[in-house]
Amino acid sequence: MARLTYFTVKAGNEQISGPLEIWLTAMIAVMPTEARAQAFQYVKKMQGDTFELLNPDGSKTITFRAEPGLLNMKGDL
Amino acid sequence: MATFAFLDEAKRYLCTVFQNDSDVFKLYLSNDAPIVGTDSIKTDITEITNQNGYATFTLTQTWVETGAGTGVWRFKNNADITFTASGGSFGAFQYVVIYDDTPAGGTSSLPTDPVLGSWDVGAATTITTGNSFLIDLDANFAIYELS
Repeated sequence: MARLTYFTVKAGNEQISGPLEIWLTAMIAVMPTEARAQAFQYVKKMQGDTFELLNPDGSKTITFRAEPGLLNMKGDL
Repeated sequence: MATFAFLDEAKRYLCTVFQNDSDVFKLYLSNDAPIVGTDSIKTDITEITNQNGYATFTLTQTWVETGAGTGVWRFKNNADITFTASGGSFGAFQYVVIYDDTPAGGTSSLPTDPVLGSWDVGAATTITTGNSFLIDLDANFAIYELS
């Protein structure tokens, strides 16, 4: 189980993000209806500062978006 | 989301040590925060134990100009990278580190396993059995770009 301090839930073009001290259920409640239903599929369990993301097939993948570094030969090297 | 952060020493290695198109570059997970100003080689940033679906990953990298005459060069892998825990957990880890596995001189001018840099996942993370950690590179699978 991953231990996270910040979360993002995406459903189609809708997305919610926030620190975990914000009650996750409340966050989902403000989503548009069609996004809310899908978001609930991904939120399986939350215990304190720990929660799991559940994909529709039952597997759980923590996706880490890794953005490239940028260097400039004149300024950085 | 996090941006790849270079070690200070790696910027010197870019011009002297790293052979981007021919060296063997590898990726590993660590729970040891890289110290940008002083760390330089793999042993400075401890790798987590290779177990339960996690093992040091060999990149299939290319070093290519983003377009003819652009002067922008991209160091990229050929795909996203996923580790799936099996038979137990792996971690905890917080950093995704890339180093050059080819140099083995053991000197400051030709160090052994010089580190390029890392991403910060944001929190110590443990992947339990059956679950996965996906390193989702950008649309070009870029690790860094030099302009």
